[in-house]
Amino acid sequence: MKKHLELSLGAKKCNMFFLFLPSVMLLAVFFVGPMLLTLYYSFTDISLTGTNAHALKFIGFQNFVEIFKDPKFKTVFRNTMLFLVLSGIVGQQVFGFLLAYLMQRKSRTLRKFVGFTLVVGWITPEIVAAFMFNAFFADKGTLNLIFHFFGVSPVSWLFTFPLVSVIIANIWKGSAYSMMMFQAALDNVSSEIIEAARTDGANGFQVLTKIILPMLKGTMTTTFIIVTLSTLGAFGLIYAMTGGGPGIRTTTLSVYMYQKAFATYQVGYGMAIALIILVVGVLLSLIYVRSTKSQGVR
Amino acid sequence: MLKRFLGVFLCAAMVFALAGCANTTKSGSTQSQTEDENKVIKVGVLANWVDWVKEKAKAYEAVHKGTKVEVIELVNNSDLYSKTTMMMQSEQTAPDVITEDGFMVKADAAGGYLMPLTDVLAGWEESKQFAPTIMEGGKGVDGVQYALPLSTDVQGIWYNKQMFAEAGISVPFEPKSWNDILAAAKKLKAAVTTDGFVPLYLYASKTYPEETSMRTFQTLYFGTGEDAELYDMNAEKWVVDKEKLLDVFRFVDSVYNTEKVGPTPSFAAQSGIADLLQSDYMKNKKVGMYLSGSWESSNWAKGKSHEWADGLKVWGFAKIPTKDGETPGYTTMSGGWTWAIPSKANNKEGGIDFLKFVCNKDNQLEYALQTGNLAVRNDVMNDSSYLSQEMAVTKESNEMLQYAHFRPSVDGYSQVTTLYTDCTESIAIGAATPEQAVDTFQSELTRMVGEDKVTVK
Repeated sequence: MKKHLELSLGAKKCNMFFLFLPSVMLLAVFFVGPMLLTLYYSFTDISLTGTNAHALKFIGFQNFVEIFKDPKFKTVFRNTMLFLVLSGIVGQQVFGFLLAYLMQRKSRTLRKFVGFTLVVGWITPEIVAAFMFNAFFADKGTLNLIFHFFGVSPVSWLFTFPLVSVIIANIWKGSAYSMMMFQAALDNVSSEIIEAARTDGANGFQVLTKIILPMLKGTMTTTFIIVTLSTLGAFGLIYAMTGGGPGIRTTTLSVYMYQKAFATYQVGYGMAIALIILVVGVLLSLIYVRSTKSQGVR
Repeated sequence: MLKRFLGVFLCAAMVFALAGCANTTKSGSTQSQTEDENKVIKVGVLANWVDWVKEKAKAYEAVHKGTKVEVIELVNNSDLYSKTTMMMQSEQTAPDVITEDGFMVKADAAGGYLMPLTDVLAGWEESKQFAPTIMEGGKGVDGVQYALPLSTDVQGIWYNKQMFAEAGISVPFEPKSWNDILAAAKKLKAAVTTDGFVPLYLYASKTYPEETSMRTFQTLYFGTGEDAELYDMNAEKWVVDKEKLLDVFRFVDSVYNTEKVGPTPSFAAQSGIADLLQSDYMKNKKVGMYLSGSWESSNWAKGKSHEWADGLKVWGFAKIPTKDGETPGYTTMSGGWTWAIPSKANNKEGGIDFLKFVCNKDNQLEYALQTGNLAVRNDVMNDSSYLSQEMAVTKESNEMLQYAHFRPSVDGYSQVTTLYTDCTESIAIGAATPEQAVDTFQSELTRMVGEDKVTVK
């Protein structure tokens, strides 16, 4: 006969508390702690060197006021939004979804090949991808070589179209995630519903928009949020490809934050920018969640 | 039973994972641990000189049996300075002695990262050999000596004597005004039709922040007139001199945009330019003039990375003139590196001992001969082997020293220098006209240091 340990409710709760403790502590130390420190330091003038390195002063909202008065901030914010929308939302997700949708009923070999190619991009370390695209878009790089072959004059991609180059690199890098998420979600769409809709006379497009997409709302929200947050924080790829340049043409909020904190040593200012990135991310996530809820998802 | 065991095991594993966050501070260390630390000296050195310092480390270890010298390489890229400062912030990463770029001394000393060397130098006979003016480069804002000068240098115009002769420009090249430089560049451009040829290489990119700020912007700025200053030491204010700024920006504009005798902005922004120029472009007639430091030829010496016996037969080093030849006639910037002891070093005695060793006369002489940098010790400066070096422009450089200006490395310089780079780059990439750059300069400087710390002329 098996012995069952009948724990009282209190004991159960105690058990739960101790079992959760290690993870909660890890989260507190590595997540909440730094966030609170960032919040605190963004209200000071702490810098990496000089007198403010140890004699920092509390300056209230001055960092934030400075940020909004900074003439570069508008361009940096615009770059960030363009990068986010074009490479994250439109690029990775639409591209990922289209691939997943089109791959649905194709042969296994094709699915494997496409899947593999995209995943290779995803698992490639950022720096490697950055150098790869640097070589691809360089003045004497692969793309210009192809152009030359077709008799088209070369373009200085990283100088004339830096944001486009960086966006393309990011789409290549991240689409795999969206594709895999949508693949899994599409596999869960029961074929019976689709057949029923077809018998009712719906064409392919109507099936897609009226049946499939609504059923994918949950997945869409999740991928939207995850892709947005990771694209907002994208740093390595852009920094290694263009350094944020030329000028500030590819400087996004995260690159700007790095430059302010580590190139000009104004750590407090950099932290204020970090906080802004966080706020933007949270706001966008809330918007996504609200918009999907308001459309009456069951 | 198995489930419960698994549960307990996983919990324990999670807790052990926390041990990975353990802080390996020396507080509460045992006696034997302290003894071990005293036997290791960590030396942080700029990548350019790491091979030489490794040799010195071996020599030191041979004399001091039982001591190990660990050489830490500081990679020379645009993040070098912030990395160095961050290294010195914690006891775990701070070396015991480190090479510190001269212009960072004041800021890092004010930040509390450097140990004062007053006592060390007082008890060291050889410290008297260091020229007082050069020692200024290692002092903090409070006048305390925080770093010992290791080298100094000057900026000039490297020019290809052969290509000049072929283009019909008289050699030796002795420009008396900025227009002379532009004229020579234009002649080169007309005479050389190879694709990708750079008549005049002028640093103007964020990829090379301090190079652009110091070698291009500040060198030219101090050549606009005797009264040119970037920082008013008496009033303790940063200066915005619109006329002089316009002069500098207009020159950069001429080079990059109007006359197009400079590199293409995308070429200027790629990494590893110095190596590319020394190993390829300067050897293969792909560049005509190069505004840079006196050490550029040192890598052509025997046994160095880009050995080229004909280096100084082909290339000459000219003084940079003031804008229209006004007094004093020439301008240059003197940089300079130093050795410092981080205040958070674990083995300060070891660091100090190694410092004295590596800065003694023989080693300083060796260093100067190896790197092509200018000496800072009087006894080295007068040494015959120093004066008769093969692949160094010592004679020309010594002549330039009297016209040298120094970076205003006061508190806030680390920010302001990025402004100098940004404005210069904006002209080169065509994002701003000289007039716009001057306006940006004024508004950004005011934003950075505050209105009460800026004086506008």
